[in-house]
Amino acid sequence: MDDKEERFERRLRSLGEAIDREVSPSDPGLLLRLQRAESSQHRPRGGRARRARSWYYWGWAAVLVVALVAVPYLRHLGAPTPPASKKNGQTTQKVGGQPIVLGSIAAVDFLDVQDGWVAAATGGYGSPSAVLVTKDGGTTWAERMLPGGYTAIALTALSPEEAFVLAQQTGQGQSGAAGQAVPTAILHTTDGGRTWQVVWSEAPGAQSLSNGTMAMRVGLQFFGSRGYANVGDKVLGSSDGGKTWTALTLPQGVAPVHMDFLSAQAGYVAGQICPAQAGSGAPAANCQAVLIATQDGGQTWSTVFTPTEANYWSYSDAVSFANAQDGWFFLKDVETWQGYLYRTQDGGQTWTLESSQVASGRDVAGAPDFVSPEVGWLPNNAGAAPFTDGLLVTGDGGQTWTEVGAQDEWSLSGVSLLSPTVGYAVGKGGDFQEAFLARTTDGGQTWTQVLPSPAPTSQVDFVSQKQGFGVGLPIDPTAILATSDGGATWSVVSHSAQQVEAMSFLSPSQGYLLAVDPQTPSDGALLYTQDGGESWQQTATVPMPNGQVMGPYFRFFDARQGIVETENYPDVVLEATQDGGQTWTEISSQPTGKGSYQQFAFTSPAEGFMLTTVPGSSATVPSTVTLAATSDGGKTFQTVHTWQGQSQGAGVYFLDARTGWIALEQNPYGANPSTAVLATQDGGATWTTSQLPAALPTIGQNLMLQFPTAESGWLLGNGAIYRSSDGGGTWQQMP
Amino acid sequence: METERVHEFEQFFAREERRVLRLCYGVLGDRELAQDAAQEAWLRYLRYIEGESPEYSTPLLVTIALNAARDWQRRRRRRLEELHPDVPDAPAPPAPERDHDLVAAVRSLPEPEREAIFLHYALDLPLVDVARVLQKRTGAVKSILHRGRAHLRSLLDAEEGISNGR
Repeated sequence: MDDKEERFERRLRSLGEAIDREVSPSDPGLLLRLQRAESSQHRPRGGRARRARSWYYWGWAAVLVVALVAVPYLRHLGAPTPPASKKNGQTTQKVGGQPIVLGSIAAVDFLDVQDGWVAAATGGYGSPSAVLVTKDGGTTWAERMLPGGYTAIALTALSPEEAFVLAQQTGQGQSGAAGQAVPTAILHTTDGGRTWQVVWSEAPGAQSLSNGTMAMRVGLQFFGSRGYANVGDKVLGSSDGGKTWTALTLPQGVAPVHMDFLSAQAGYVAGQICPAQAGSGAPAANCQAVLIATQDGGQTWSTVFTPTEANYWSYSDAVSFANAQDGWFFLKDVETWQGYLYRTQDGGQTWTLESSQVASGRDVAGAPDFVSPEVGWLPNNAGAAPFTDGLLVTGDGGQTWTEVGAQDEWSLSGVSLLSPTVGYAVGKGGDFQEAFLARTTDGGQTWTQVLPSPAPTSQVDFVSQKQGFGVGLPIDPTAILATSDGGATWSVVSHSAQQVEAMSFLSPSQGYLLAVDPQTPSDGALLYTQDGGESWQQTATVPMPNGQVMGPYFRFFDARQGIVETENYPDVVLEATQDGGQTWTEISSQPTGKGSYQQFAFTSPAEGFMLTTVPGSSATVPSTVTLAATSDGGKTFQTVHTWQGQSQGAGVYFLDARTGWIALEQNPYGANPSTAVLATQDGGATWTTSQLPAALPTIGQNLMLQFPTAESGWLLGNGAIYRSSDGGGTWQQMP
Repeated sequence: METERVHEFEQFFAREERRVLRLCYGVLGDRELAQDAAQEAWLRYLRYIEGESPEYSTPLLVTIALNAARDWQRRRRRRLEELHPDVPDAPAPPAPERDHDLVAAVRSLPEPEREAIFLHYALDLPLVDVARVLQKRTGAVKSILHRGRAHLRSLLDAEEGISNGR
């Protein structure tokens, strides 16, 4: 990134602050009015709204009238798009024969190349935590569950059988609201995770660890029978192998953020001193970062370093020592979002600023991990891109840092280094921010997804009951995958250098990709493979005039004829090619707007269907979903069926002019949204309905429906793949 | 509200208040209108989750806030049309002329790019949440953001050229 680009990025990053300078919350009464409105079902009054213009009063009066008449329906007001999927970011992993859901992976600890432990949540916040144990380098995993009510946030393994987990007591009546203080606990196993004992816990109501605290900063370390635990606002010590724990007394006013002990006696704590109150790792105004050290197991402490480069709103992020002499201290300047990396080579006596170029974003928390004085990793949370995502690696002691791996949108929560070249990373990635565990054996240049087992997340295209292709992995959104067993297992066959918009295969060997280079989004690239996706050649450039965005529909019927859906906002445009993609001609333009959208399914260059959804603006105005057919290549469409109610189109696929399926999101505004698949055998005149086994997340247009035969079908949504073998009557989630 | 829920909502409000206001101001470009729209957005949100378990969702709140801001924008246009029927359309936001007109530059972008950039950069929403709010695929959001950034860069480069030429 050159200086000009960096200036632009920096400026764009300041957009939020630029708005704050023009308008900032200055209405202290708003919260009170909202709470009154919530408790009494009255409209909020007063504040600056009272000073508004007369037509504004009429607006509120209208809202009040509607509220009194139709309070039960008001929850739909202003939300014509579905609520957030509760399944977002979850991936499945087959362990012990049954797929479990990995909501997030909190920690990884590999003892060697064979023995490793992973702590993962099985769902959203407060869901049970699983501990996965491998003894073969991640090929197979044994699933162990933590006791109910505990959500793992950190893990340290002492042997293949013994490990400690730091957990939040989410079962203690805590709702899990972000920012809420949740008591923590330490759990211990000596039988490979089969049974767990709580060896330390806080009382309910303790304020040690906020839900918003990055798990990366908490930690557990052991040196023989001596153990240390950073649990949020305190550092604990144990002298009996972790059976009992007591809080260490830190210097007055120091709030710990991160710790690194070198031995049973010597260790460092990166913390901060805040004038008002000790925080829990969250940035606070006018806090001063500080590094303290102990040589006697935490009985006494001394301040070893107080950085001066970033004095305003700075706070410590992490401390890491490779040995007794070489250490690093990472802090962040909250005002400039600049990261500062300091280094010592004399055991902490003197510190020099090694780098001030380390990316550091708003809520990014990188804890540097060094395996030698030269080689270190710095995992980053993608947070609000365009900050540097994923993993930075240094080979020169932190003087320079390089991004490694295919890490677009990686949000790393931890790394485990076994050597300068072998290591593991856990985090979330891909278009749907799915949890993953990845392994590298070449210092981070290339990565293999260990968990979950590879399966496409954004595209699937089956050419038969057995053979299919897909796009996207959590660790690599542009990975091209193939299956030859009906989607039971997938392997990565290639990687697209460009962002993949759509995929269409003609046979097990021949297929097309429509891809876009992010640097030149006005030109789409048409790529062609003859070897089952292993290699691709660009055959044409698909012009994407200013204002167009590729849409989800793209299909080739043979080597010459194809159809693509593009977007010329706010219209959807169908274009066709007769010469293998060399030239494209507009067929028709479909208007959108007010939340309406179209989805397409062509069975031949001439025949196809269009599913149009016009969402209602409230519960009193139902959504309308219309299926229309074309027999002139998309020039004109005739309505064949209409659904009205609280449903929205999620996907459509037709095998021929009579046999087709649509997916509908049902009750997308309600508390229990679900997805139904409807099938027709008569071109859309009549339909039979099947419900997916588990409520498929409401994901709008992010759903793909495919039936290469009348019986075998696949449905891809939000990273999960479902299969039907009876024409859509029943569905099973693929492992 | 029950005491626990009041506490949770207070925390949620404290965390998201600025985000909602940023979005409303980004869409409307007027301080007072933005504050009115933000208040309405919060009210709509409370009504929306009424009776639900208190699982506060940022993407849902942002979706509702975006709709509220769009509604206020439409009301303002209608009001302007009523007051000035001879004026064909509300003029586009002016191109930036000064260094601190980054917000104005973003506001001058076409609607999809404008909203995506505000959601992603000003509100710190990850791509997957931007896609959910805008009802688009994440790939499409990436494309919109890339195009918006290119447009914005050309606008700001032009502004820089003007400044240097002065």
